[in-house]
Amino acid sequence: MRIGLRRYLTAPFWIIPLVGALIVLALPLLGAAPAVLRVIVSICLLALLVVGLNVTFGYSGELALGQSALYAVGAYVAGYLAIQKFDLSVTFFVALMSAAVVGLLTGVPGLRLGSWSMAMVTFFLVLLVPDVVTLLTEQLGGPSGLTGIPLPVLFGAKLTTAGYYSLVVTVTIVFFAAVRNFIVSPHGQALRVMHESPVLARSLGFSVTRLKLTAYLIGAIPAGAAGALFAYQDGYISPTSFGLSMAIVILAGSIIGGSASIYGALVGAAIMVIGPLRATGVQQFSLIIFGLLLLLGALFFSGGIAQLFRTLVRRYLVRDEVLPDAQAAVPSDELISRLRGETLVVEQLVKRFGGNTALDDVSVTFAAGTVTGLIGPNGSGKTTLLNIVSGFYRPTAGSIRLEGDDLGSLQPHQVARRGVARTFQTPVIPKGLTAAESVAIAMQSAHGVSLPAAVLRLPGYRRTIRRHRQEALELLALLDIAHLADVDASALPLGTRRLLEVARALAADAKLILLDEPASGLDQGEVEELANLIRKLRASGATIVLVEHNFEMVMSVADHVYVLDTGRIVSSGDPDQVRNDPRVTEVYLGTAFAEKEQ
Amino acid sequence: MITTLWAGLSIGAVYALVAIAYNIVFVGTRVFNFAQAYILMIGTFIAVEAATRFNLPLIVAIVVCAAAGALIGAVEEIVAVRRLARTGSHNELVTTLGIGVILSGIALLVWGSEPRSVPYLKEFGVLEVLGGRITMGELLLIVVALVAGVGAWVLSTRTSIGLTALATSEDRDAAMLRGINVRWLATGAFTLAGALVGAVAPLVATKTYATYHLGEGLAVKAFLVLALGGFGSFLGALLAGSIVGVLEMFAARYLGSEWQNITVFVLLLIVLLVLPHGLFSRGKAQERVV
Amino acid sequence: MVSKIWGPALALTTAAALVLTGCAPGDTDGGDGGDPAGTFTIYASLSLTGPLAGSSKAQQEGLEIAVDSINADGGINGEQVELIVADDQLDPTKAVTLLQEQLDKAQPDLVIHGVSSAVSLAMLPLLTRSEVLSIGNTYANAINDPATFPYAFGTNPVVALDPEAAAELFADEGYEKVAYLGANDALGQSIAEAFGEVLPDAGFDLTQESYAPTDLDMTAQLQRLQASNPDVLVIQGYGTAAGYALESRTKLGWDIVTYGDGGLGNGNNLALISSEDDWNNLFLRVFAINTTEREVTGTAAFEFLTSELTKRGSSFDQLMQLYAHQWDAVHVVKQAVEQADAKDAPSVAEALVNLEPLSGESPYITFPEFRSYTTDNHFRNLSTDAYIVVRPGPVVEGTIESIE
Repeated sequence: MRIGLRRYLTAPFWIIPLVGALIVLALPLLGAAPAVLRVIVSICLLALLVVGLNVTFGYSGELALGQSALYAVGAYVAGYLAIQKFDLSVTFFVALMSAAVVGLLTGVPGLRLGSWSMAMVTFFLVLLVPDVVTLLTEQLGGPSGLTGIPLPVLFGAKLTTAGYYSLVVTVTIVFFAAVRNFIVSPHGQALRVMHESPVLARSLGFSVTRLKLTAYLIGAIPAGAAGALFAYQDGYISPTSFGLSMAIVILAGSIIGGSASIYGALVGAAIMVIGPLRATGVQQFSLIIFGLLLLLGALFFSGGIAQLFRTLVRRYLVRDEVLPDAQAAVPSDELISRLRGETLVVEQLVKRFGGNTALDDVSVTFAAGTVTGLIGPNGSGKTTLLNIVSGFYRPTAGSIRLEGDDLGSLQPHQVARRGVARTFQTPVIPKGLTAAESVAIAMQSAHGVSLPAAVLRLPGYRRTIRRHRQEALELLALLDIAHLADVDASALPLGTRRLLEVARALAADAKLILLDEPASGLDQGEVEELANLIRKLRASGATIVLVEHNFEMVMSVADHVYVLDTGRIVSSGDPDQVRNDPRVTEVYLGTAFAEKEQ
Repeated sequence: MITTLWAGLSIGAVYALVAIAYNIVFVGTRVFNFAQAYILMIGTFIAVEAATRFNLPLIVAIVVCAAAGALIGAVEEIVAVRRLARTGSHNELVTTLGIGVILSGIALLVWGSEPRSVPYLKEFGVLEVLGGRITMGELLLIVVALVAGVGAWVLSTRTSIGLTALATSEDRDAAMLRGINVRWLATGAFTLAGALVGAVAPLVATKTYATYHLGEGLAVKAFLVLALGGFGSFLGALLAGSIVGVLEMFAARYLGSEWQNITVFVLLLIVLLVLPHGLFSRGKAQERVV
Repeated sequence: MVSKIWGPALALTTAAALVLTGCAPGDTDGGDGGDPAGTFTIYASLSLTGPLAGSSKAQQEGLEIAVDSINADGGINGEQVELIVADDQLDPTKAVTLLQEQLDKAQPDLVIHGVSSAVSLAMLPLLTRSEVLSIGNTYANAINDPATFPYAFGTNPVVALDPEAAAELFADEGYEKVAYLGANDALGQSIAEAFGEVLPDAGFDLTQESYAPTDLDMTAQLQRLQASNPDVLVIQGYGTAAGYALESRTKLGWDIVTYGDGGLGNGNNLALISSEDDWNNLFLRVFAINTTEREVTGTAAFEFLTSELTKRGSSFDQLMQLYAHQWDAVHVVKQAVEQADAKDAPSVAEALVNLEPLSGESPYITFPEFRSYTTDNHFRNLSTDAYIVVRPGPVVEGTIESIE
């Protein structure tokens, strides 16, 4: 029995976990034993820690091992304040904020280097917990632990065990809903894009540092919440509960459940809580078992249980079909007419890599409303020039101005936001996004949904998502690939992915569009269509730079052509001039062709 | 105060040795092997067995432990790392962490939770050097670390195998196209690193004893040394190791032991903010990013 | 694209699995949960895996032998004793969860509340709320709080007794300045605080340093202590730290008179990690039970315990007091239950603080002289002569074989 894709994507399946959650919430009323409630509380707390790690590790790719340290921060802050007789509403909030602040402070330096450094800095944080607790023995009880944490008082009312249980489950539900909303939204998609290709993320206008920090914060807050709740569980916290073994348990839970998953965190947490409790007799092997879980999980089950489930469900339960709005999509001229090209002026640009001069005194102008071709043999510096214009390389000397604004000192994502869009020599299409989504993501940084709107599903959210999807579909229709809108984009053939990149570049409302060898891999018919599209865009006023090896194609669409060779401009002019320039034929096409032409 | 200096240099030497081993693996495979310090830990237990059960002299114990370390390193590469070489993800950190935890578990299971000592070098007692007191074991550790660091540096920059390894770590595909057997290079790197920590294990054990949680404590500190010195730099690891060790000991001596880790952590943060590539990063030409 | 079916299905399955497992918690070692009528149930939470595995095993053996001996003799107040042992893996949260599972099945009559203070402190609120009697050899002062934990007792004397005995000894020896090096863990903190209160009050000049249990080198701390020019050094610790501390002292060539405690002499078996050179001018202040000077040799209780340990193939590598504490714990509860002729916690607690002397040979091993608990003090009410001074040595069958 299969369900259609449309049903699968639009039905509110989130009702099922909600119902499950409500059942769990009602367990005290159904007469569950206190030990069961306690186990569920432990699972919820661990799940909060794991889901935080999933956001930073599974989705964002940063192995932030400091969750157990943030757990400690939340617990100690809440515990200390509780002893001072503060209401749980206060202790919870302050604990959350403290964890977020500590997370930020320690995340920033760790993010500057690669993933290992992030892992280690955060790991070190875990080692510091006992020392800090000892230094603050007066307030925090020192190595013996913090005793005397009173039973929770929420808004003046004392909570019973059942009340505490309900609080923990409710908090878990709320956080999971929030994190799920975040991940499913374009913000979560941006994370996934960044994980796969920081370069692509930057070229779409996302600040990678900001994305990573956001992910880190979103991971830190549930950890602080879990800590705050943990303090009340036994009225006592010992610093030994937050050490390396806790960090390993959290990591193992993430890997087993599936690091790039939300609900997987619950499964992983359940296994990591119930497993050790039930595994009597094999406990002296527990370290070995944990290690094996980490090893095998990361080797073979790189998506964990969640990935297994997803693949099975997708393969056996869902029938692929083209959604109605994709079928109905029509290329809209309105989109194209929105493009307002600007002029880019490059003056005396020099770029050196170590001892190698890639660009030497290059001056070019990409005039608004024109198509400029950039051709030259391999290694001549074409792509380097593109990379400098789009902000990925710093110029060694010279200036780049877009309508007077200096681009040379900007970061790539700032250049993108300023209005420069590009495609890549090898199409960069991240996994996990459909064709429509990978086009729509380009609209996010300029005029996308805000973080609160995404997390809280405010009214504007659905509207914006729908509008973006509609525009994405129209762009896909423009390139005749609308029927592929809801297919996994990374599985598409090369030519289609190229077109997708062009659609994406158009989606970003660009003032300057850089196309890096868009025609390579396309058949003749497709090249024609691409050329037509480029002409249409020019007619609307867009500024297009075309780096191409397909000589004929360039000549047929370009208004102006520059020829590069070993970092220098050797010829410049309209297509006919350049075509007849003997230097060009020599350098680019070889002397035999030059002779043939003559 | 000189005694504190010697104490710092000797513990720094232990960190540096582990960091040098990290570097050997990194240079050969671009992977960070979390389990390195745990291999050292197993080595210390093997040294205990060698000494107490088989009464082997120090030299023989060193050879035996080096062989054991090499074996574990090779197995680790084959089991935990090789398969991931092509995926390009960071799962190696998790798998090598997994191996490390397994090794701790094995140590706990086989040798229990009680620490054990080795009887080597006891006969030398305590020496008086430059006005500070130091044991023979500690002195030898400092010397061995120096030799290992400089030796690794020479090997990597002056011999063809070393340069091959450096090249491979920069660009694996290019290396493969040149006919370099990257697989064997990777296994070789892990084996060599394992042999190094194995060989110094009996010496380290005279200072730290054999205990199943030795790996934990060393792994993170040694990474810090690695980051401080610069990934891939052997001389950097040496220098950074000394700095961290000495800083630790002086903080403990003059501030109090709770400040030890905190001081080192602050140092780490400062360094990462100011010199993100460490003291001696191998000055890379700007990589082709796009 | 986040799949939407599996998530809900998973969540549902998990919830179902939870409820099902929760309804049938697994068995802990040694019992089917306790038959409330006609048996006296003892639930022991020990850390059988992890760093305290050695001492936990010793305590388990002491418990089992005590229970067997009592059962052979007719049980507690006529009821046979059933022992349930749970492995809390030194995790306070897990210990409480396992305790709660036991409470859900059947309320035990006596709980051994863990082998580490962290575990005890986590278990005590629940034990008190559920009115369950508990006892153990954990040492933190916070445990000895009859106002907050009226049903909790300890087999050790109060922490302050240790420095009081030291103060007497040091006064006798004529020392004035005392240096103290202790561990930065729960146990170490308690003892350090006690020394910090008692010694200055007794007129001594005290400087204190601490080390983290994972530290590899204590030269720095010892140098700081050395700077204050003390007359005597006190080292507290166990495990690797003890060895490092002594080694660092030897390295510094600091020949000062040094006193260690039972922790220093135990568990890690000093001989395994340091050598006679490090024992220069080193003395241990321990309970007599751990030495050849014990007075219980020859008593029925002691002979039974030691012969059973050998018979059951125990590794017998921990200090005698670890085996003996649990024996004493069960026996004192037996005495109280039989005196009160009831086994509910309030009655037994009442009896424990009003114990009447027994006739005949004492059934107690660690501290054989009769002492009752008091309303203010739920730890053993002993005097400073409980501590004796011996030279260190290897531990053989629970006894320190002092070198000379």
